[in-house]
Amino acid sequence: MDIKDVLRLTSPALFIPELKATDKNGVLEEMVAVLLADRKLTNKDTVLTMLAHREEMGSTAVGPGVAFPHGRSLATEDLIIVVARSAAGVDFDSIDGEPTHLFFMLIAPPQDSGNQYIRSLAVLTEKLQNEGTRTALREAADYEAFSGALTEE
Amino acid sequence: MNRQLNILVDVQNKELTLRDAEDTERAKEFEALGFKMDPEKIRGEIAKLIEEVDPKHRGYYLRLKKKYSDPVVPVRDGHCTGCYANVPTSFTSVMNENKVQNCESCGRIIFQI
Ligand SMILES: [Zn+2]
Repeated sequence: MDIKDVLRLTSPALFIPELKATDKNGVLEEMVAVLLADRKLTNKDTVLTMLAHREEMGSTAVGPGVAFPHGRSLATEDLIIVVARSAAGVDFDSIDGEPTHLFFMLIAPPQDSGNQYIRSLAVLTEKLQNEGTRTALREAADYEAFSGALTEE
Repeated sequence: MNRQLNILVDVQNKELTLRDAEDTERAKEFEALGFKMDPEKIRGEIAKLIEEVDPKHRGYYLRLKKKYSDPVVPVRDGHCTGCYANVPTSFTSVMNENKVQNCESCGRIIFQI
């Protein structure tokens, strides 16, 4: 599994170029809302509860300025990824205490073939280690530029 | 979705996380990526949630749990995703009453996503 496979799990409709939310719960709500708008879900509450619970176990803002809210839910049959950005940054209880600007939300099904879920997380966390990549992602004008910056070697 | 059903769905979602947290190999992979896994905490939360389930549903749920690894399942395209039996169309109309419904064929607790 590489970054191109990971990008197949998201789409322009699941990309929020600039979040309105200014706090952690607001970010989770806004990101889950696009799944409803895209009719990937009909009930957001169970997914939100699941994500909030995962955050309580330990913040998913593990990268510098990057968070990966994630978890399994009965509400989905396939792994889905929602991507979002915040220019100002949001307090996501990050490990380094710095604001979070890039968000990759992974909603995984109860069971997934070939460990797609954890492998996608591994690919993304590794990609986002690169400072140049992070800057390019924050500056990308649209989804096309954003996915281009992610796939660039 | 009604409150009782919401709790049962939350419990089942937490069971999914617990499965990953209890799988030592998988838990190690998550931890290596920086994501904490705390099976003890999840178990405690599940126990607490189960206490919030109305006793008349709780016993049924616990019996189901002994029988199936997925005692609570969504309905998709009019089918129970546990056994694939048809679910009567009347099912969705009572979703918002404080009622917990089960699949007539396999007995699993069903909900509309
Ligand atoms: Zn059934």
